[in-house]
Amino acid sequence: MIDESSKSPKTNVCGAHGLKFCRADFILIVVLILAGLIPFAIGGLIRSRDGADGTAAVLTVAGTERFRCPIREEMEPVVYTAEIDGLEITVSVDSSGARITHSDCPDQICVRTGKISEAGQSAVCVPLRAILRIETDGTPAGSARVNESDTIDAVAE
Amino acid sequence: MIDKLGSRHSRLVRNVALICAFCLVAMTVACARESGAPKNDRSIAEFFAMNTLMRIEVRGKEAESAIEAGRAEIYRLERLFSRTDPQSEVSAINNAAGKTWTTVSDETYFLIRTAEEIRVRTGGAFDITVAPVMDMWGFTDGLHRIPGDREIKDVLALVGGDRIVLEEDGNRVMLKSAGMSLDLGGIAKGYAGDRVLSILHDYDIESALINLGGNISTIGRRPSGSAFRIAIMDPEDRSKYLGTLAGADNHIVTSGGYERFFEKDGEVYIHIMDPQTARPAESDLLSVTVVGGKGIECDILSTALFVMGKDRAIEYWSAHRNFGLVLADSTGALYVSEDLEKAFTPTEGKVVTFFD
Amino acid sequence: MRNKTMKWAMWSAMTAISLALSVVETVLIPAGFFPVPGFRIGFSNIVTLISVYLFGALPTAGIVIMRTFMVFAFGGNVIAFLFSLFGGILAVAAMVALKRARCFSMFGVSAGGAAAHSTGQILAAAFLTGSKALFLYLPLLLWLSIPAGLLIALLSTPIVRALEGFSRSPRID
Repeated sequence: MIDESSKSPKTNVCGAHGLKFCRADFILIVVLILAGLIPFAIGGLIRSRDGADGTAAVLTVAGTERFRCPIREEMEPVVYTAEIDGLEITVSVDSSGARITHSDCPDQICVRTGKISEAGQSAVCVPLRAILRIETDGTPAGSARVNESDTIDAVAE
Repeated sequence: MIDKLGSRHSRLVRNVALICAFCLVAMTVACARESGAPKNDRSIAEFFAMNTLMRIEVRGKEAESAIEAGRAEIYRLERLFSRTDPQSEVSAINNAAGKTWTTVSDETYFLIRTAEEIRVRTGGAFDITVAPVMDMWGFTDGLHRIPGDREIKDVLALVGGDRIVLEEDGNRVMLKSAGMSLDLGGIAKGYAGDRVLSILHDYDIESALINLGGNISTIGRRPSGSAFRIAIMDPEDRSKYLGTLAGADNHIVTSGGYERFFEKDGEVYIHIMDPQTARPAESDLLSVTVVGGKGIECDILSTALFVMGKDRAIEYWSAHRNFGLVLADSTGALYVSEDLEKAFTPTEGKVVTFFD
Repeated sequence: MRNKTMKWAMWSAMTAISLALSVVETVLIPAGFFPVPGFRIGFSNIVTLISVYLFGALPTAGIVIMRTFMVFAFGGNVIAFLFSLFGGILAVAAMVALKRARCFSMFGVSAGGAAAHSTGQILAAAFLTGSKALFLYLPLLLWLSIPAGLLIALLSTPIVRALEGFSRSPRID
């Protein structure tokens, strides 16, 4: 069937120098599209823990959320400093994860925790009652973002 | 055959050379553009100063140092203007009330003079000598009480910007009588907004969102290129908004009785005092939002126009027109100056009247 | 001698053109233009495709490797370099194989190459990060690469047509 088309020069010229779209190409494309489904078939066996879900670094202090930053493959590094009763805690977030880079606490356990990147991981500063954790919000990485025109940057009060 | 091939080759070589030359130019341009836009940093600081929560968010090459500089500036201003810090210049003036001159810094002098100018322009609706009244009603220490008529009459003798003596030569300030007291609290945040903005500009910051206890200042736009959207809090429901304003390198300051008040016997007493009566302002407005290029003016005007009420506020705007105004009256209706027609988006269901 | 010089001149020119196309694409279509991280149309593949037809497997591989290395040298990062290197080599291999099958047109060869490129990138990413979840991202990238590959072929056919006489004359590879 494929040879046939390559032999008939009047219709689609296929073969090494064929410049016109032919039936074999069509078959190849169908095969490629189907091949794209294979990961889904295997995917059921693999636990999706990152990448597929939108992840975010979240800093809470004494139970209230102070800072939330989505972690994306392509993002600018973000540094956030919060003050808690005169003491400071600094968090930095980049595409590879988040970490507490500075804390005015005496024990420095939180800083020594280092980088966290997997959903559910956390770095905790007990003296300042601060928790940095990675959360997934369940939205697929490729999905459209929240309608930007609806978001508010600040409230004048 | 060889000749034909040769000429074909040489033409090809020439064409390829031309393409290469074009590519080189394109790449040079591309690289120049690339290096002209170095990677920006985004930095955020949240801290407490001037008795409120402040947040500065900055994008730019030196985001972190810019934020640190802005923050240091706020602390510096706090030390200068704080009424509760005994080391501050304001405390020095207050301690010398009725006694001697106090020599102050250019900045303190500038703040007092600006406040005085606007006090005169607004017919006394804003007054930095209203501090004893605030004390009397318990808004300073949180021990709220309702003073008697006699007390109010007495305290009125201590209020009045016309009783501040200013001497331009040597930045000298004196309060005429003992017991008088300056409070720059309603103006320091606005001035801090001006200073922080100017510092961030010095660092060539391309985008910034500054929230000084509800006073919002912006530089540039969001990283995505769209304008910052600043909501105005609904005075009747703190979880809702009256509408949003597009930030455009300016200051947005809102004042309203809803911010601080106390209730006694079913009566609501708000923290914005009418300097003329030494009682909480009886305004027909619930909130006033002023949008402008000078934070200090926005801060003063938002309070003054609240005290003046709807009609006089609109009158004042018509006479000056160098700022934008959003008024919310007690029926929930909005009155917005026409210059904000494009920038202001009301929340659905709000009745908006644009005036000019 | 003349032919040998000509060959090297052509290869170098092709490398330069593909590098330029790659850089220009980065500037004209910045990262984030498509809401799919890591996806590019890959205009430099025009050169890859034409080279497969004009010069054959080894010179094309050389051109792709040189281009990838130079993009990296022009200010790329190591991770992106490894991704495109692996994707690029796989794409050349796929194109050569499909061409040698002698039953596909340039469109099939290009689409297959593009698909191989995406697969290679994901493989490299999965290998480097150790995250298997990346494979769930492959279908999207793979499907998008098919129209991109067809577009590249569409852009390449007139060029190959124009160069056809040249390539059919005494082979230079």
